[in-house]
Amino acid sequence: MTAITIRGIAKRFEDHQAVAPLDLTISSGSLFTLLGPSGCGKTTLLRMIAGLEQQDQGSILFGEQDISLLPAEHRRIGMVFQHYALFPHMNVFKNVAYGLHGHGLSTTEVHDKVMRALGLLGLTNKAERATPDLSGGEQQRVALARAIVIEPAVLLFDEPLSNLDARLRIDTRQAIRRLVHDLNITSIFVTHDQEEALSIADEMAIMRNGHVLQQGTPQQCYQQPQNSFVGNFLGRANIIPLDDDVRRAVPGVSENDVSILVRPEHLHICDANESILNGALRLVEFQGIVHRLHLQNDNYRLEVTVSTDEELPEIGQHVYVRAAQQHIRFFDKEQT
Amino acid sequence: MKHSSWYYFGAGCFLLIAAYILYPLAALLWESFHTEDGLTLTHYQDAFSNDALMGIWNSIWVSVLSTLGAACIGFPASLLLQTRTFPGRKLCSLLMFAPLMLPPLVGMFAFWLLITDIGFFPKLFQNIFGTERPIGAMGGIAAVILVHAYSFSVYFYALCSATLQRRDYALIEAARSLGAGFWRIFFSITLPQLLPSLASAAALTFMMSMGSFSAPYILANSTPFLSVLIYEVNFAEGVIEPQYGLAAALSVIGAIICTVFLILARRWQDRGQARRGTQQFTLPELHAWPKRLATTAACVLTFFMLLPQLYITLIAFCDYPQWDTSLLPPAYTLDNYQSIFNSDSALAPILNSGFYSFIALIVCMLWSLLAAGIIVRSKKRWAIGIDMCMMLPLALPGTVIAFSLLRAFSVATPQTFFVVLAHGVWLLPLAYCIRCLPLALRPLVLALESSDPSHEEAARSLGASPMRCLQTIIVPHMWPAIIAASILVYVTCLGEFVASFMLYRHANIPISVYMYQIFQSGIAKAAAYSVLLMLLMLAASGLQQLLKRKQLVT
Repeated sequence: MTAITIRGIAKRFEDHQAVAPLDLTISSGSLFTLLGPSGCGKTTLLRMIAGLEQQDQGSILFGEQDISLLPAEHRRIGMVFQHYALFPHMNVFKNVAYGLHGHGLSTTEVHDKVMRALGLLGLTNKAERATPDLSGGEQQRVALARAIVIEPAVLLFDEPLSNLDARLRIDTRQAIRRLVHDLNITSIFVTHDQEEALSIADEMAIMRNGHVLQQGTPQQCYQQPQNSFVGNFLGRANIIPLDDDVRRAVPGVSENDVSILVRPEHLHICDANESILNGALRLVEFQGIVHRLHLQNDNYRLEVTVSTDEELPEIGQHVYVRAAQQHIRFFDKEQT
Repeated sequence: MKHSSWYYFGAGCFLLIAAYILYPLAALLWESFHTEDGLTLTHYQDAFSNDALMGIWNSIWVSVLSTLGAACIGFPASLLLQTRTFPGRKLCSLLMFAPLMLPPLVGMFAFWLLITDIGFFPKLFQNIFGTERPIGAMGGIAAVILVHAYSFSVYFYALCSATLQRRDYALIEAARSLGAGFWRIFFSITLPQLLPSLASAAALTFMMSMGSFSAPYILANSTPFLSVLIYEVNFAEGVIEPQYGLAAALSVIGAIICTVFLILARRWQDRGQARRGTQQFTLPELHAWPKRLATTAACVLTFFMLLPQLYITLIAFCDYPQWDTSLLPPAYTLDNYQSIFNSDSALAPILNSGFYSFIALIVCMLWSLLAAGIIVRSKKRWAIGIDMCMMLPLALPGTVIAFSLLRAFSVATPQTFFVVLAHGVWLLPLAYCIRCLPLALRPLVLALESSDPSHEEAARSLGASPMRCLQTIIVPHMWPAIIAASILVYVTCLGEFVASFMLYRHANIPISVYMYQIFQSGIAKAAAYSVLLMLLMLAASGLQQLLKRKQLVT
């Protein structure tokens, strides 16, 4: 098990600062997710950790060892690429065995290790198949087998699920989480899908414009976002500007606060005198177990989720909502 | 790979380019502005006077007409064979590439035997019309244009066909759904899509025509041409005082004309609207008489494209001494081939060509591999300079390259290890190598560009060293392109004439020059050599197709 420490690492591509100087600590054995929109620098950061991109400054430590200047081939990493990067001219077995070359292993040992890795991923009967003949899910599992068979110190995933269909993505991310915890390998998982990040991660960092905006457990990041971007990026959120009416209605607002965040599932329909927010009902979306109500008034829009058991107001009717104070996040100017 | 490594490789590649491409051209430029008295424009004044000016002018307008002629054959052929399906279409499509199987000198021989006053067609018309003398014989500039149009029509055909095969057919369906008829679709959809291909083909054809040597030299009846003048003012029989300065000035002018045309074509190319289709489509089938008409037209066209090869093959078996004025040879024999294989001196040109082409191939491929790696993988801005320099020989007439090498290496230089290359046999493979660099580089660059860099990254993440990465990931991926480029380079070197003619020594006389030397005295034997050369090219092409079928070549 290897903890990863990143100190002041930065990368610039010509006139674009891909990663601003940043620090991160990833505890050993954890599955850490880097989450952010496209172009936020998460893949660049992952590639610097892998040694596939050279940082302009800063250092990377695996445990106590500074690996900043080590070439990729000497970092003991296993990496799963977005498009799997399976070698098309080698079959499944040879792909998985590739990384075992040069470790002084006998043919039998290589065979055993490869078959064990394939067995873990349910691919034993595909060993002789050509990789282009496999389905997307199978290719993804071969890529994972190839990465784990070398028993890496760190496992890196670069948006590995983005090419799979919705159902398979859910199954595969559960399988990855189980596997990583069973093998106890420190892992970094890059994704732009917040649902994927929340469900798979032990810990996560949310990035934007090369900066880490927040690091913590998925629960901390979701429930206590440190700024409006994180709040809005993770799950659905209502960010309401604080005008005089809202200031009066919401308890606990300080002078410096300029907006509040409240999640749709924390808003409840109530009477006008109990309410903190309100709006006319414009649209109702049926989402299986809940209805999503879209409210609007002159100053803001609101989303409210209500159980399908509840009686729905009429379209155009004015609806009043309230939220418990612990579910309201306050943001000052800097946090917005 | 470490960033600094690219600088070392880049520096190495630039050194090679500077030593063997830029230095000879710079020496040529210097010579064109220089006399014993110092800097001067005298050579350019000479170049724009009398014969020389006529040569420049002839080259330009013949190249323009050759381009139009080639377009008139290749473009309609691509429309006929790639827009509708009919019986025999696939075979005819394949046979339209026949001119590629014809080395420049062999093509010229074939046309000489078909259209000049001793040729097949004038004799045929004589027989038909019962005249005393052959009629309809062609020679001079008309013959040169015909040879060019035939030989270079394949560029128009190949490039337009490729675009038509991968075009976005949905655009045509959309136009039809909006009520557009055949001609409106042709002018508003098909033609704009084909513009880039037409521009590329026009640029290629113009440059090839400007650089063409064998056709003007043999068929033009002493009409001056730029490429021939460069040779004649120095090396023609009876030249007592070679005019190197004038030849250098003519070379510079030729290079400038080609470059200007290339830039113009490029601008036209950029205006095109080629769009690649994402879905496979089936060509619509013709019905009833249009189908029969299309099949007949395609067969006639293909027959004419194959005629030079067929006729020269026939002549290669003829008993030449017994051939009088009859239309076809009265007797046939294998003696022409036996005389090649039974005589060491007759076999030597084949062995020479094989050997020096092989040397050129090895150097050319190693150099191109290095350059391709730098161009695609280094991500350095200066890599584009390497790309442009390596493609330079494509834009320059063969005579210019050969002459520049001859002049630059007629003295001992550090890059030739202080050996005067012009006095030995090694200038020939060097010229082959330089001329073929663009042919080798393009497929390698395309192959490397199409390879997924994440494969190399995956290999490195799995602990593979750069050398193992190269050995197990990069080379297997590029192998098909390496084979294809090698075949193309080798076959081109074997058939090369202009540089061979200017640079050969007695010790390394190549097959093309030997064929030219014996042509006047023994047409049938020269035809037998031509057939051997064509067979070699056919075998190479067959090998490429075989590998393609086995998916070893993309």
